[in-house]
Amino acid sequence: MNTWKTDDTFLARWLAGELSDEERQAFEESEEFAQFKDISQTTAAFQVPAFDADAGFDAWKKNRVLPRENVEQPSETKANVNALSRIQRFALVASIIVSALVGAYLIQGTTSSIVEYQTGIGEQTQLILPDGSEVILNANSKLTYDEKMWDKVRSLSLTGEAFFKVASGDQFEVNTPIGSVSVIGTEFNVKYRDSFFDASCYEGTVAVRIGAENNVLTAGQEITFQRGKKIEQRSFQQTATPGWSTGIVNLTEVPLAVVFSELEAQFGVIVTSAIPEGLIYTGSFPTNNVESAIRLVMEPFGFTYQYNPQTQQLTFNTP
Amino acid sequence: MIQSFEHHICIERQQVVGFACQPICIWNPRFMDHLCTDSAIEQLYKAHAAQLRNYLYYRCKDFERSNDLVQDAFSKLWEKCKDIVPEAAKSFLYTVARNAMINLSKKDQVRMEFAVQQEHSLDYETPQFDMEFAEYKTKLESAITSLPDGQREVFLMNRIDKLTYREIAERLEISQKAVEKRMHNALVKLREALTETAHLI
Repeated sequence: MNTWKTDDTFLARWLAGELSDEERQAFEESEEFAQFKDISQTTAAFQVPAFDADAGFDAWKKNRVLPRENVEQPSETKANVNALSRIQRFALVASIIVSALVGAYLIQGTTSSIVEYQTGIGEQTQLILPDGSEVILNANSKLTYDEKMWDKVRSLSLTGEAFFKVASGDQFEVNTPIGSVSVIGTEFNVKYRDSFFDASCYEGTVAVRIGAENNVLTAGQEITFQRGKKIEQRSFQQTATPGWSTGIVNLTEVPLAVVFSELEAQFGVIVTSAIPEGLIYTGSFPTNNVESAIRLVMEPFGFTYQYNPQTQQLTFNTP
Repeated sequence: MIQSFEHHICIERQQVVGFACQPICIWNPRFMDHLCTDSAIEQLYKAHAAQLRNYLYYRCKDFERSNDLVQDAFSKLWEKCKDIVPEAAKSFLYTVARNAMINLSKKDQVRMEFAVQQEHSLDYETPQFDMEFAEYKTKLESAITSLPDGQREVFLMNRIDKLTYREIAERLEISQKAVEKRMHNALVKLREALTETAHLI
């Protein structure tokens, strides 16, 4: 049987009333019991001076420094303000890009029919193709197509990531350096970053061609390739549009290098440490908070890291 | 695919994919900025400041310092309010305060003193060795003061703040088993110390 001499949590269990009847009876008969009981009863009556939380809080509030951007209003109102300004920023960025592109097109229109959309770090834009198909282009991404050929072939080139809502019609094709995705009237997401390719089907059916290999995805399925090798075909939890278009980047079982190119696309983070091979990340992070995003990537791996917001450089050490 | 937005931040290391143990971390944007309001921070302060101050006192044995460290910890939380989900705020406060204490210079050993709740002292049974209660209390206080920091903080959080072992484990970010061991060892040490002084007399 356990006693306080043989079991190193015995007395803790005794204080919490967790001993078995047998253990307790034997303990109460031991010669040291009275001493332990005295200690227990005396310390249970011990008190420290009360802490005046009201006065403490008032003093703290008076002396505190307001952090940058902290706004004094209830959280709900504030969230709405943020959401609104986010949309406004988005609309502004989108309109600037579109007008710049229209300008560029008008100037070059006679010599070239290639239309190019490019987003910078942390920018997203929404566009409508000549056939009425809708595209949301993620940060640090480039989408090009030949407008003269568009009536004959609906074919686009993409690096980075985009979500497509295709208007019905003939074949619609998205090409990346690794593979292509072709569809007839459907919704899908294509991503090509750092020799990592991912296609997710949101509606209808899409065909993914990598080299000579053809794969068919139905709604709710995705497929990933790295350096031309198929990693997996699986189902994913579907939302109306990909998480990144609503402010959260979701990554499922992607190599660490791809996570870093995502951080670069969203925030311009430059990784200066060697990226360890073979690490796989699953998770999500917000597109509007660089510190949180970095922390949500670093902490699960147990990396210690330093991020310099001025230079945007990120260094880390593997544990 | 892990995409549950009910969870705020979760880190799991158990799920095995292929040969790699993969971490999972989820951010819930609905809770963003939640702590950056006066009402949120006030609620947190009123809920945790008193126990945090007691914890700091048990550790550094100095009320004035403990009070200052509480204010500092809340200032740190305020600075980082955007990055911390409400559920993580409590352990953040304890961690920040604990780290701040490590950097403090050790003060001279002053015997900790505790008031005694009246109703309890009346019920008090005659202590062993027929010591006067006041004398017994002084010896007990000295013994508590000399306990190792880890044992003392756990022991007093349980005895004075009436926290359960689980609650202590959460605040100190150690296992419940570790709390129980410290508790047990604290009692063994206190009994030894009281026995020794009794023998000297």
